Amino acid sequence: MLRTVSSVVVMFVYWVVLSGFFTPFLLAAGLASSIAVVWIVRRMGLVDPEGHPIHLAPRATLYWPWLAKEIVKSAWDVTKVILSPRLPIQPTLVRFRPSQHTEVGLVTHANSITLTPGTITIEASRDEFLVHALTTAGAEGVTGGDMDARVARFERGA
Amino acid sequence: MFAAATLAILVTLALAIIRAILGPTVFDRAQAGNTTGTMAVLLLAVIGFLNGRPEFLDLAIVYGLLNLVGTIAVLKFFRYGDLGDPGEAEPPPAATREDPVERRRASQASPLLGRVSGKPGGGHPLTVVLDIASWISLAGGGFFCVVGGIGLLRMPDFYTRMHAASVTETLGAGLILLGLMLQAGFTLVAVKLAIIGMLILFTSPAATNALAKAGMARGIEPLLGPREGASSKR
Repeated sequence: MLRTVSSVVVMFVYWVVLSGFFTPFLLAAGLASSIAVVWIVRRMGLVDPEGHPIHLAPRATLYWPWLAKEIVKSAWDVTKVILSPRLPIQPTLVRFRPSQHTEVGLVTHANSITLTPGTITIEASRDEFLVHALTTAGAEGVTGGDMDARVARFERGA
Repeated sequence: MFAAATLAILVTLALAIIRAILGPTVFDRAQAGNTTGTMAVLLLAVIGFLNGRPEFLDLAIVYGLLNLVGTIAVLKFFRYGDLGDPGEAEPPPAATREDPVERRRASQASPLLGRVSGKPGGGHPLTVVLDIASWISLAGGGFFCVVGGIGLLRMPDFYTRMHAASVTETLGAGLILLGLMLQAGFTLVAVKLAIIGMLILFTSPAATNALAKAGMARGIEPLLGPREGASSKR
């Protein structure tokens, strides 16, 4: 129930931000639409810890800045590779087993790998991730387990 | 400074279009198309500032959503030969689960498309520091966009090109949006820019993953580096 209420709140805030009008009619219309949408989505069974993972929000405030830092670092590395006249790449495929248990955790891990330039998740399943890395250093970064541990902590939530 | 960012985006667009024409595989073209889409989103945002018309931001949000749906549709068509194909029985690839939410949001956004109360730039007493930070951010963003575009042309195979494109889509797009947010100050415009940034950060890995997976499924072998090939260096 709490999750339903928070879905409505998120939808409504999104409406207000995009509309930018604060007349009673439009605010009421926005609230009505938000409730209608959440009602339909609830019937579809999507208002669950996976569809609306609001319980992870406190943890995200710690994880996202770390991810942003990683993105900047690896983007800079890839930039140096691209601009280097020799184009020093060693494309590598690595497989490893992720330690997350929930779908949200696995998706977060897979997408974090893809988001950091230089590594792309090709296959992501509970048992194994297949990652393509631009350099061996990038591949070692992925299998090193730092991100894996952080996502596992993120997934457990607050 | 908006003009400089616009120029960088246009250069990147041109590089992506060259890659789209060169191909050689349909997945290279899809990747180039995806980068073109991201650049179009950024272009809409920057042009909105250039002309003082924040309505363009709403167009950018909608375009960002269409870009994701379009890329997935093209990939699905080339993988299964039919858009109505239910696909495989296994669970969907990472994070395509995000898109029902996003689509729902799109349908909410459209009724009030193009009405913003905030005005970028004008009317806000910006400090010199903010202006300089914004300028650096825009210039840096433009630089990383172009670098990604160059990489898209220089890299030897489909998978390595995707790494180049991800520089454009993360740091390039992020810094340009940050630069614009610094210009907007605490307004609805800044919130919309943040939404565009989130949209790119959530959808681009989904599209990238779908692309890589589709490439693998269609038997495009990744070129592996000297260490893998020669195996003497360890």
